[in-house]
Amino acid sequence: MRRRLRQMIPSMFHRRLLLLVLVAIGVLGVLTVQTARLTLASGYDDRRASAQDALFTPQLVPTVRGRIFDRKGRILAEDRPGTEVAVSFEVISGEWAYLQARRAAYVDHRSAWTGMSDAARERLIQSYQGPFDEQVRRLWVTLAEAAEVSPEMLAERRRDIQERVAVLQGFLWQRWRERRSAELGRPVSWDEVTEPIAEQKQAHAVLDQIGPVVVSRLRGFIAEASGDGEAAEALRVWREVVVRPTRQRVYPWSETTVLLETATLPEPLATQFNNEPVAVDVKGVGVHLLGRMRPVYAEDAQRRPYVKEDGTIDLAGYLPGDRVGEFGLERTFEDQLRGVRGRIVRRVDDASVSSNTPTQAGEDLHLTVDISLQARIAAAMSEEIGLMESQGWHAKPGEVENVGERLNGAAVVLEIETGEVLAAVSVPTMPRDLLEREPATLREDPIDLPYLNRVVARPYMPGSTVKPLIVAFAVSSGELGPDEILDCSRGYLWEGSPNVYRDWRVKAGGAPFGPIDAVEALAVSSNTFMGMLAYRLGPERLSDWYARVGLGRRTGSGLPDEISGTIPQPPYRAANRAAVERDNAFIAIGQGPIDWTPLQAVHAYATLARGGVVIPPRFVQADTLTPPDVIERVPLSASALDVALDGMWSSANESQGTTRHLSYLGRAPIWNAEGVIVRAKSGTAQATPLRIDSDGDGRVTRDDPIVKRGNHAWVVALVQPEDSARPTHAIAVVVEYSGSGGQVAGPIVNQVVHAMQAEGYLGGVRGVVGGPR
Amino acid sequence: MNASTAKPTGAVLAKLKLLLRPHPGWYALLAAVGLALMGTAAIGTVSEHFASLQTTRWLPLGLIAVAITLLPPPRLLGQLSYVLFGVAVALLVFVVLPFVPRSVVPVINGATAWIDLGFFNFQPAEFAKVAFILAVAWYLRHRESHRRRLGLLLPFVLMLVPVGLILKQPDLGTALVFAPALLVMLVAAGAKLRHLTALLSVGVTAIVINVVIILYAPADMQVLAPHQQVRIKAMAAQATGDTQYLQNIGYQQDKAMTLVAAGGFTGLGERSATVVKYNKLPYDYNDMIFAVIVNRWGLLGAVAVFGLYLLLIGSMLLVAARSQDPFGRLVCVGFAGIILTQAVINMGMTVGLLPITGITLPLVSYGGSSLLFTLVMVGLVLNIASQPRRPLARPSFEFENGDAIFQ
Repeated sequence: MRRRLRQMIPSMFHRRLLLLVLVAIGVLGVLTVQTARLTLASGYDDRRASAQDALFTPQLVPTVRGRIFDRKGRILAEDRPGTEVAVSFEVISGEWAYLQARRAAYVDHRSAWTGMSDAARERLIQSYQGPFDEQVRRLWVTLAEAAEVSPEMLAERRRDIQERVAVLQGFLWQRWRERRSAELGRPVSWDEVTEPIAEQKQAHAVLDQIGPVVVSRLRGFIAEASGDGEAAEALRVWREVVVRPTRQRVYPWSETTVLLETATLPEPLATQFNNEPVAVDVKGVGVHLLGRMRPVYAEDAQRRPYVKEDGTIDLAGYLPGDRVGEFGLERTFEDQLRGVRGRIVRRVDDASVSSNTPTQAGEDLHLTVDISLQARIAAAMSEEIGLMESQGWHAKPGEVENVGERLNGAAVVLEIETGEVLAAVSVPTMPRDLLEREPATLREDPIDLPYLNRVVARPYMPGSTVKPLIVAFAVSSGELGPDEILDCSRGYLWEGSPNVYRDWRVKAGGAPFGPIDAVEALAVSSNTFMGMLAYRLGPERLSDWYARVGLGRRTGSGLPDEISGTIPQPPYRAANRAAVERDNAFIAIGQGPIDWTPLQAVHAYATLARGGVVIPPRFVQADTLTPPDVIERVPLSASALDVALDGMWSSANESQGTTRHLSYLGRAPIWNAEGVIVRAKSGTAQATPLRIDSDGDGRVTRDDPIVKRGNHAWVVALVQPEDSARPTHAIAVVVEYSGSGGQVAGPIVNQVVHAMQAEGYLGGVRGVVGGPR
Repeated sequence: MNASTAKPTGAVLAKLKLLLRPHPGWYALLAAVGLALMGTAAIGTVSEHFASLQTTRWLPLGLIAVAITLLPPPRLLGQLSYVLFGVAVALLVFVVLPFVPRSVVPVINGATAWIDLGFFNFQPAEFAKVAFILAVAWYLRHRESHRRRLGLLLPFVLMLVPVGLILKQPDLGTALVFAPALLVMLVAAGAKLRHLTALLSVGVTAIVINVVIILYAPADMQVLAPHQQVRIKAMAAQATGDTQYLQNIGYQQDKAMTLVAAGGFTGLGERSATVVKYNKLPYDYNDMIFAVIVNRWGLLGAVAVFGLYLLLIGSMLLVAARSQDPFGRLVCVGFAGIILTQAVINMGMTVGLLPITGITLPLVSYGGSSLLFTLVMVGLVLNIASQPRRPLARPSFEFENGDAIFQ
C-alpha cells in the first residue's frame, strides 16, 4: 500500500496534499451526515414543528375571577373592571431622568466619553439632566390634574411602590442567594444574585379607576410622544406610561359603619355611652375569612404552570402578573374562583385566526356568612365599645392587673340545623388598607398575632365549657342516671388532697355544693362532679367521646389555616394507671393536654344539640341540599341531651348559675335580649403566660418576659327564639388572657344575640344596618 | 513614441495573458463567487438591507481586492510578510489597549475587535490571518527545522502572539482558526506526522480536560471564562435533552438547529423568510447564515455549500500542487486550511456539533472584513496560480526516511 502510493505519487508534498484533501472530505462528510440527520431524521420532527409554531402568536384574553357573595346575596368580593395608569419603575424611582441624560450626553460626546474621568462624566450628565427632570415633574403634575388627585397623594403612591419593590427585592435576593447556595453547595456572595428583579423592569399602577375622558386625554399624550421630532422628544417620558384595562379585586364590605345600641351593654360601659346608640366604624370585616389577592410567586407557577412539563399549555396556569388568593377562602377556592383565560392564536403573516379558546369566568362563591351580622359582632368587639378591653370587673376585685388593655379573641355563630357558620370574627381584625400597605406590621406582630384567624387557627384549652359534653357522654354511656345524685359535699375530688382538684366555691372559701344532680352540677360548674364522671367513663372512653364530637381533627370547614387542636390519647403515662386516671379527671374539666378552637366548640355543641347528628361546619353553601351519603351519628341519648341542655339553661338562667350574672358594683344579669332562650356554659381556662422571644435566640425561655397573663375566658351558648322547640344557633366566644369566663365572654355572647336579632335571627326584626363603603 | 507606448502595452498584455491563462485557481474563484452569491441570497432572505449592502458594497470591494492582489509578485509578498505580520500584531495590540478612545475602537458585542474607519469597521484579526499565513509560509519555505521536535514548536510559539491578542479582545472564534491552519501548513511542509499527532493529542487532551472541568469541577477550579464555560454546559445540556439553557445561552444554537431541521430535504423556499423571522434567530445574517441556507434550500443547499467549499479548497490545494515555489505552495495550503477550519467551526456549531462561538462563515456571511480578507486569500491564490512554471525549479518539501504512508 505504502509502496504503491509512493509509486503513484512520487512527491511527498503531493501525498501530504492528498492527506489534507481526504481530511477535508472526512470533516465535510461528518457535517453532511449531521445536517442530513437534522433535516431528514424523524427524531427531529419536534424541531420542525417548533419552527412552524413560531409562526403563530398566541394572545391571551384575561378572565374574570368569580365573585364571593354572603348568605343574603351581598357581594363580598368582585373584580371591578377599570382603567389604570402605570408608569415604568425607572420613572417612579427617578432613575429615568439620569439614564436619559447619560444617553443624551453620550450621543453628543461619544468621542471624548472614554477619556473622561467619572466625575467629569457625572458633571456632563448633570448638565443634561434638567430638561428630563422637568419632563418627569410635568408628567406627575399632568397625571395628578387629569385624575383630580393631589400631587402629594401621587408622590405617596410612588413612595409606596418604591418601598414595596425594595422590600421585595431584599426578600428575593435573600431567597435567590439561599437557593443558589443550596444548588452549588457553597456560600454565595451578594454579587452573584443581585440582579434587578422583575418589578424593577415593569410598569406600576399609579392611578386606577380613571374615567374615559381622562383615558383619552392621557392616550393623546402617549400617542404624541411616540412620534418623531422635537415635540415628541419633549414628551419622551410619556413613552414610559401605559394606560391599560384592569380588573381590581374589591371587597365592598371590608369597611362599614354599624349603629350599635349601647343600652344592652354591661352597665359600666352603657353609662359611658349614656345608653345612646353609637355609630361604630368597623374595619377589616371578614378579612380573615375572605383573604386577599397577592402577586403570583414562583411556587404558584410550580403548582400550576402555564406551560406544563410536556410542553402543553394550561390556560388556567399561572403567569407573571397574575394575582393569587393569599389566605382565607380566596385561597381555599383559588382554583374555582380563578377562571380560565382565553387564548386566540393568529398566524403572524396573514393574521388569520387559527384557534380561539374563549375565556371561562371563575365560579362564584356563595358563603354561609351573613356579612352584616359579621360587621355587627365585629363592631361590638371593636375597641370603641370596651368589651374587648380589660375591665376591673373581669375577675375578682384586685385580680385584674391590666385594666384598659386591649384583649384578643374570637366569636363564632353556627346555625345548628345546617352547620352553616353565620359569623366568625377574629380580634384583632385586619384592616384591608393596612394589609395592603404594611402587611409586615400585621404578620410580624409576635404578641397580638393579628394575622391569625382565631376562630379556626388557634387552640385554646376549653376549661369548664366541656362540662355539658361530659355529662352528656356519661348519661349516654349509662354511667350516670339522668337524675342521679352524686355527693360533692367534700368539695374536692381526692381524699387527702383538698387543694388539688376542688370546686370553685370551696376554693373561694364558701361551702361545698353537697349532693347534687347533673343539672345542678352544670349550673354551679362543679369540678368534683365531673371528676367523678371521669373515673366512671375512664380515659379511653372519654377520649373516644371527645373525638366523636369533633375534637382533635379539623372540622373541614374549608379555611386553609384551620388546625386540628389536640385531644389526649391514653395512656398518657405508661404503666401508671392511677396517674392516667388522675390526668383524665383534669381532662374532664377541660384542663391539661386538651385544646380546641372556637369553631370546634360550636361544632361540638351543635352536635350535642342535634342529639348526636354530625354536620360538618361550613363557610360555603353547598350547591345542592343533598345530604351526605352517610350521616355520622354520635350515640348521644335523648335523656343525655335533656340533662345537658337543662344544665346549661340553669347555668344561664337560675340564680346559682355561673353563666348568669355579672358582678361589678352589684350583680346584673348577663342576658337581656327579649324573646330569646339562652343556654350557656362558661369556662375559665388556665393559660400559660405568654412570653415572647425577646433576646432573639430563637427560643422562648423562662428568661423571656411575660407579655400576657391571665385566663382564657369562654362562653359557649345554645340559643333559640322563645317559640322554637330546640336551640337554633350555637355561639362561642373566647377572650384570651383576660379573666373569668362568664364575666368577660358572657356580655359579648349577649351582644352577639342582640346582633343576631338586629339581623332578623332569633325572632328579631332586621333594623337599620350599615352598608358597604 | 510608438515603440515606447507599445512596449509597456505589450508587457501589460503579456502579463494579462499570463494572468488569464487557464489554471485551477479559476475554479477557486468560481467557488468563492458561488458561495458569495449563495450567501447574498441567504442574507436577502432575512434582510434586504444587508443583502443590498453586500452586493453593492462589500462584494465589489472584495473583487477589487482580488484584482489588486493579482498584481504583486509573490516573492515581494514573501519579503514583506514579516513586516505585514508585525503590522497586524501592532494593530491587534492597538485594539486591546485600554486607553484607546472608544470612538476609534468601539465595543461591539462586548469585544474590542474593530477599528472604526468611518465608512467601514476594520477587523485587524482578519488581516492578521492573512499576514500570519504569509509569514509562516515565508518562514517554513526552505527549512527542515520543523522536522525536529523543538523546531516544530517555534511556529506554534509565533502563533501564540496573535492568538493571545485576539483572545484578549475577546474573540475566541477567530483565535481558534490559527492553530489548525498552522497544523495544515506543517503537514504540507513535511513535518513528521508522529510529532504532529503528538501535538494534536496534547491539544485534544487539553480540550477534553477543559470540558470535563467545566462539566464536573467546582466553580473555583475553572480555567475558561464563565461565558465560555456556560456555552459548553449548554451544549452538553442540549445533547442530554436538558432544557435549562434554552431560554438564554443555548437559545441561539437551539434556534439554529430548529431552523436547520425545518429545512428538510429541499428547504422551505420563499416561505423561509417568514419562518426565520419569527423564530427570532440572532445573527441570522452573519454567524448563523448557514441555518438560513439550510432552512431555505434544505439538505440540498447544505450539500451545495459543502461542495463549493470542497471545490474551493480542492482547487487551492491543486494550485499548491502545481506551484513550484515553496512559499506559494504553503500560502495556498494555509489559506485553504484557514478557510475550511473557519467554515467547519461555523457550520459545526450551527448543526449542533460544536459549541457556539462568534465566527463567520467565510464568503457566505455578511461582513466587510471577513469577506474582504477571504477574497484577498482567493486573489493571492490566483496570483500564485498565474505564476509561470519554472522547469528547473528545485523540488521543495521532499524528505526521505519516511515513517508512514504519507511520508
